[in-house]
Amino acid sequence: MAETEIQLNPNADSGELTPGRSLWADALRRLTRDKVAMIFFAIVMVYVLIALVPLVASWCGFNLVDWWDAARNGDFRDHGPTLQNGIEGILGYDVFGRSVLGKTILGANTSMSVGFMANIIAVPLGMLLGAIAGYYGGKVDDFIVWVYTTFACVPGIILLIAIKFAFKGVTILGVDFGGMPGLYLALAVTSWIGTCRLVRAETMRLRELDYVQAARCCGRGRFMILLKHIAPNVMHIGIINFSLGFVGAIQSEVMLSFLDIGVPAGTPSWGNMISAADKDLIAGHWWQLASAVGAMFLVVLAWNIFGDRLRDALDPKLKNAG
Amino acid sequence: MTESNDTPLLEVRNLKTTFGKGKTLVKAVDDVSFKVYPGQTVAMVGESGSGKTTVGRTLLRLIPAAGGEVIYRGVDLMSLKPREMHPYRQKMQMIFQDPASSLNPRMTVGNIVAEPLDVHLKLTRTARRKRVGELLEKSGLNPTWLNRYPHEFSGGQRQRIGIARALACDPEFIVCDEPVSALDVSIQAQILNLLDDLQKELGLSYLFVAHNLAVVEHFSDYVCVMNNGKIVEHGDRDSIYDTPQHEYTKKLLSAVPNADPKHKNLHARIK
Amino acid sequence: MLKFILRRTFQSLITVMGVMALTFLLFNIVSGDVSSSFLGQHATTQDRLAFKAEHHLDLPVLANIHSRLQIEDCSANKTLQLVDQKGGANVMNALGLYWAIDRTKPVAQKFYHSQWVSLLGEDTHVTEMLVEGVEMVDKPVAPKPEAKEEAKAEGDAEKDAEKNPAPEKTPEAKAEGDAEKKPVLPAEPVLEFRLCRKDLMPAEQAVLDKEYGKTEREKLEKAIESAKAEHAETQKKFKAAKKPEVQDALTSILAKQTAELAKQDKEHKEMVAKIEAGTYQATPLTTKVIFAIDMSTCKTAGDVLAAINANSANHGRLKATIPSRSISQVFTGTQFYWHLRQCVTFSGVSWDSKKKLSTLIVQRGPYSLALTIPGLALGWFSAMIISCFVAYYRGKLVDKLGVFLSVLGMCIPLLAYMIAGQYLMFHIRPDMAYGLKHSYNVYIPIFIGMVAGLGGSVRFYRTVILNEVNQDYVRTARAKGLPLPAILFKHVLKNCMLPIITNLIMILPFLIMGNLLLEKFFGIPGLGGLMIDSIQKRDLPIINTLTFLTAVIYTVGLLLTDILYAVFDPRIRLK
Repeated sequence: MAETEIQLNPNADSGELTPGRSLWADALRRLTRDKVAMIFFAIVMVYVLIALVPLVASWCGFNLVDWWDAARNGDFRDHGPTLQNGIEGILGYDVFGRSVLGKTILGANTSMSVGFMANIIAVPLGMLLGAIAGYYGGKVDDFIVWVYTTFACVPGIILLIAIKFAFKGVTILGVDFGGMPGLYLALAVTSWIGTCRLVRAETMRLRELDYVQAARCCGRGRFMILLKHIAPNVMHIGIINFSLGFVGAIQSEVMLSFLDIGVPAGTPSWGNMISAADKDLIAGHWWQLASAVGAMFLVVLAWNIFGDRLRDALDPKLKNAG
Repeated sequence: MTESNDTPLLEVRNLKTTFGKGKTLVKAVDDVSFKVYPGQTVAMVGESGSGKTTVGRTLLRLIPAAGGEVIYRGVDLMSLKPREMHPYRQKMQMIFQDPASSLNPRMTVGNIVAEPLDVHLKLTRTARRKRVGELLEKSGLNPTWLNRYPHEFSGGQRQRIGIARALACDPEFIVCDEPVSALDVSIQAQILNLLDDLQKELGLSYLFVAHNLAVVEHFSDYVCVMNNGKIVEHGDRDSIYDTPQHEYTKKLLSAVPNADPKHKNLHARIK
Repeated sequence: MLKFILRRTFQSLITVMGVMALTFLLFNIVSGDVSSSFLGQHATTQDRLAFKAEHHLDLPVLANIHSRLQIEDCSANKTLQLVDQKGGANVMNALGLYWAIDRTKPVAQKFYHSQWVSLLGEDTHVTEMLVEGVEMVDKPVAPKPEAKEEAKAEGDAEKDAEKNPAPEKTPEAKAEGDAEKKPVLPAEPVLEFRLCRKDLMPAEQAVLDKEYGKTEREKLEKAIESAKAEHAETQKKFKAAKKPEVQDALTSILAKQTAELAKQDKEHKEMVAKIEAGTYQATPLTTKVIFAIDMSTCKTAGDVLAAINANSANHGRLKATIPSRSISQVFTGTQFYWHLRQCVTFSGVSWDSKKKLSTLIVQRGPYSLALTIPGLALGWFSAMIISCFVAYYRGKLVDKLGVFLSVLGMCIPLLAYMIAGQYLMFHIRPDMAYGLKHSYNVYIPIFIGMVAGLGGSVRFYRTVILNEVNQDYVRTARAKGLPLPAILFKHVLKNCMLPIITNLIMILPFLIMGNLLLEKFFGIPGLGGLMIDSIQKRDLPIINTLTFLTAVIYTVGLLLTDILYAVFDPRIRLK
């Protein structure tokens, strides 16, 4: 009787290992077949590449920020977009005569690094704490839930500003938390909660599933179960939250820079551009604002849509919800 | 059936399991005792919620017991520390009800089947692969499928993977937790036959949990009928099926559909 | 049910405690010294310390374990000094206080202690300095002499001793003192703890020297003055004296005094020169060393007590104890206690404007609410209508367009909305673009707040509604032939009200804080602006209490939603 099922497979006795398709491969296939997702992913990748330019330049011993920042002679107050100086002036100049195009491109670096760093801290932290809370339960769970409820009780933006301010001038182990690292950390501290909550709930669900019971039955230790059975199955939540958190971090960075507590003064960033342009606009200097908002709008849009598609691809169960 | 039929492989005495506490205390398993002899199949039958699955899980210490003893080859498993329990986990395995949730969707079949091997026997790579191939073959699967993932298989095939995993470390005793109730009827027979063949071949003992008496009729040697956490009736298969004593057993038997119209009124439906 | 509410309330309390601990951690610990960041970098030490003492910021942070050190003079049978928790974190700190007390200015005591703290680094505390080596020196004040001349002579001797204090001589000195019986023992022994920190930073040492030099100089000048006065008196006496033998005696005294004066003058000149050149070195004020206690190995309060009490030269004269009542201050004598107290009693008074927080809230709260409540209500209402509309046409072009537009709306930063809105207003009605000149100025921020949030909420509500639409009962209702609008508005909306209302309640507490950015941008004097200003100025009482208030309202809101769910959704059972 058992043979009948085997016969269903045409190449049953070929003797060669048939490669399987993991859920990851499935998700990737779904994603790559999704044209919209791929278009917006391409936009995101363009931004990433732009963001990498200053980094690559610095590897080659060339500081793009200094180059862009170099003093110029003359009054540039009213220099709008022009094609006279080639591509450099295509988006106009700021008050100091620095290319707005350059500023926008360097700002992409800032935004991307903020998005990346904040989430590379927040997501693993949230996942770790969520998995531990969900899997071990009891007192550990109570404590972690208490911690994140506490953080959730303080309005996000206040917490963000407060942390950023608390870090002002604080240097730990040679890292100056008054600058960019503080910003990364502040954004991370305010954004790990969502991941933690989701991962905790998912872990609690997985914990009761039969395959975890089977692993226990085999004599696997708790930590190994967490590592082998729980972690791979909550990983997609981490990836989804990473992509969605990226957008949040970019937006928060702009907001904080607008309040003059984001990136340090002098670092080109979209937030600083908007902050600087805010007063210029009355005088009719729209180009700096427009470039920053435009650049930000496009990347946020691309990330948002790509993130949604990514979620659909990784977690097909949620598809009908959106 | 096989040798030393008089010393039980596993003896359960006054096993108790409770959930919750205070007012919401539920006695899921209440004072359950039975014996499993080598090479025998003990069927645990009852409606859903009667605690039969909990018995199986408590035996393997997946759920903490509230009291009682589980004597396996003279050792009380309930008194062991988790570390000391480790060697016994090799000899006692479990097959789960839902083949969809009992296999980790992110692991290949090979890794799933080899999990007990990884834990208990530190095999070399080739030995491990060979062993996995053997196991898959033994449970009626193509050994070349070990790089595939569970979602690429049908329900029956997944259950076979589960069986292969349970067989990995040459167990002596397997808890079959309603292994066929989530499957199509045609596949059910295949899986039951496979289990039967394996029992004959390897001399396994089963604790077979089922809610359907018909499933275990031709399969079990000894039947325990459970209701509300208690064993209401137990006895040889023949005595249970032919001369049920307890009202509940009679009810259960009457619910078994009979395929033969000539025997329509063999068990009048009791409501 | 009651049990559930009680348990949830308890959880909420713990959460609120957590929030207080969090704000405390952020502002009092992570951010370093509050006083200097509030008063600015250029505030004088004195000001900073006065500020700290006023706002309980000189207390230990979390636990005040050895808050009171009592040193008794057993020979005089009275309590010499009670060094209490005002002094700092522990006995070491307290000793630092004691050492620095200048008895001539008892009022200035606390400043003096803190001065040392500030000189040696705010956060390292005196503890560390003292651990490295403090000598406790017991100095008898010169007994008031019967004969002024003798006193002068003795004073000179003391001055000489001051120049080169010899600690190794102390036992002998003490023995001498004892041998000379009671009169030599001072009526009120003054304890002095000499600072022997070796690794003082040059800059710190300079400040230390300067401070020291100042007191020394004043002292010396005072001595010179009195000596001059005495000299003048003696001269007067000399002139008035008729008898030659008296005159002879006075001449010798005069000569002595003149020489002394000259010597003091020279000393004074040298000192001034040194101070001006910055080469003056801090020397202890000790005049006569009776016994010195080496505290370099003392790490705990017990060690200090042992070091004082068991000192061989002490002979049981000085007794140091930590009275048991100090335990009562373990918690109440800490910064954290005052932080909690301030939050819970709502007694925060702004450091900046000196106004009570309750007054500020009454003053500014209405502005925030005037901004947020209409914004929320309008936003919610329009989002509901749009999302129902979009959900009704789900899968059709309208739906796709709606979703696309809401995603677009979500992607435009709030700042862009604000800047664009303000720019537009500048061209239409410049007086409406900023500030609160007219009450209708608030419409623009309200509108912006509404529009900016629309994209996100339409998307959210659409998801919630569609979730419900996909349920089986809707399919059944449709199969029965009910028209979709009827289903949508009669059943679906009713069923998805719960998550929507929950969402609303969760937002409510944040209303009181207002919209920080909008308030700042449009110059509306609401609570959000107050919060940002306070954070920027480090006006701690305001930040703490406002955060506390938000947390309380938020947790109460959470509690309410939980109960709401429990009451209205039969699918959820209380656990």
